[in-house]
Amino acid sequence: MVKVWSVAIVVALGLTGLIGRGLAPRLETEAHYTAGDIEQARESVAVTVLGQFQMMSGDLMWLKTFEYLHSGIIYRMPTRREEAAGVRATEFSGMGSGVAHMDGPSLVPDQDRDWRSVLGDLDRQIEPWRPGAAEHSDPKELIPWYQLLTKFNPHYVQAYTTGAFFMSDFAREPTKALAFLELGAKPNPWSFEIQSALGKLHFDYFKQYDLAADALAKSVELAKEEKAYLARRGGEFDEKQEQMLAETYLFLARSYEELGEYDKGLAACDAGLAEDPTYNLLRVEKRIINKQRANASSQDDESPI
Amino acid sequence: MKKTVAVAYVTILESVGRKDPYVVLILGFAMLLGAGIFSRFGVSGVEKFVKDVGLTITTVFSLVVCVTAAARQLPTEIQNRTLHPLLGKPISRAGFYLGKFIGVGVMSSAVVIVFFILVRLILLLFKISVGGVFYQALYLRIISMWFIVAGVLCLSLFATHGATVTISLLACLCIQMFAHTVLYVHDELTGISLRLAETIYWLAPHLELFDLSKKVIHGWPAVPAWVLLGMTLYGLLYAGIFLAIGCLRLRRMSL
Repeated sequence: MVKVWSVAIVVALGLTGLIGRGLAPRLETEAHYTAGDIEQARESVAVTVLGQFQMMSGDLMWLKTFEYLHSGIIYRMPTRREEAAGVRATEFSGMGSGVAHMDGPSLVPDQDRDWRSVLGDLDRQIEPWRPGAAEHSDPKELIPWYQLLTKFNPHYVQAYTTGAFFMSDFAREPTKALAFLELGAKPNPWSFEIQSALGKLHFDYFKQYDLAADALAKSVELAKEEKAYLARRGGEFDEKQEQMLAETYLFLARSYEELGEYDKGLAACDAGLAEDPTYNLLRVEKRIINKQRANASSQDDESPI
Repeated sequence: MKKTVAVAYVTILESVGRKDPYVVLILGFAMLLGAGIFSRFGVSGVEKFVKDVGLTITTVFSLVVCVTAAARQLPTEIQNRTLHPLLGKPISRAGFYLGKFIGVGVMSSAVVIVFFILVRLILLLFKISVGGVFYQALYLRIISMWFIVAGVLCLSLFATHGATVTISLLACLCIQMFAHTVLYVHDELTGISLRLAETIYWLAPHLELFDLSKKVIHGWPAVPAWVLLGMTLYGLLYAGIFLAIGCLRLRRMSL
């Protein structure tokens, strides 16, 4: 009897693996919406509810990634009373801007400030908890959640950019990062963030400077359009978007520098500085390009005709 | 006692007759099918995710099977009038009630064990190791099933079948949310609201304290033995209270 069950389970495992492998590519979705589709969707209650569910599930999965980052420990912001007592949340930005956040005290209180007596002692053993400041785990563990999140909500741009960053920089799998970003670019053709990430990836890992320049130039154009759109509605880029745009100009300039197109590189630096005069890396890049151009022209002068 | 065990045995047989094991197997098969998606991700670091999905599905499925099985026991017997011939045999109402409790408890524990075996197989398939905390999680999950069965059986004597299932599932799923909310807001509360929140916190059955899955997922070490002992006593205490209320209610009910 045990033998029959063991064989049945092994066969079931094999079968499901095969079915999963076969089904998964068919289940991959590409969302392309026209203005008409969006207008029609606005009038449908069912679509609105489904849309809300899609956004909510995406946000919940995004929160889940933070739980993973803290090895299951839940942190919260300090209460007013704690703030008055000098408790402060600390900023964490050690893994890129994608998962930058504030860490306050843990939700499960330390023994000295716990009112729950024995229930508190049990809770501290059952729930992940450790005293002291928050520690952060390997961000590679977050990657499957970004992949799953984008299946639920293909318009969650931050999941593509952050997931791809962890794939390339922490899991050392730039090819998969590239595929992930390209997958994200299809349903989000207006996203300057995805184009920017694509450009940086081409630059850093594949040394394909022409492809990098194309993606980064496209990113700058999209960012300009988005900024103008926001300005018309009285809005503006947030701090992260401003930072990303400045970095996009920097990588664009560096790509042109690598391609030997110094004038374009200098123009990118100037355009970037016009957007963000405080971003000094663009000034440094400008000096480097000027030096490179001077070297190149002196070599041209010295070379025998 | 023999008669109580006989009622428990009949309860399990009834469950098998109602094809409950097939439901478990179908859900288990769905779980294995879900495992197919992991192979698509193909990026290192998927271990926690596999454990998370496996244990979450296990929790939800075993909870649903346990609640629905426990909720239908007494209303069905009362509605179909099959309770009368049973009580005609010399068995007390308390003995009958206890028999039902043991029967559903054993069945629910078996369901949890089957699901944990499936999760372990999936983890083996992905070459993911688990520490002793995995088996501790299994133990506490089984204890929690007995605790839930006692609560649901008790509730089924006060509410209709549908209401029992709905209230029980909502209570099981929301108790953690409630506990976390009290922890969030406790510092901001004062006066009566603080007293009220603390009293409800102390009286509420804390099902979330039987859930070690986060520790399994994030690779924490095993918990000390006193925690398991404490939670066993805690579960027994609440199960005892629910059983006592249920027995009293059944004894006073006009059938």
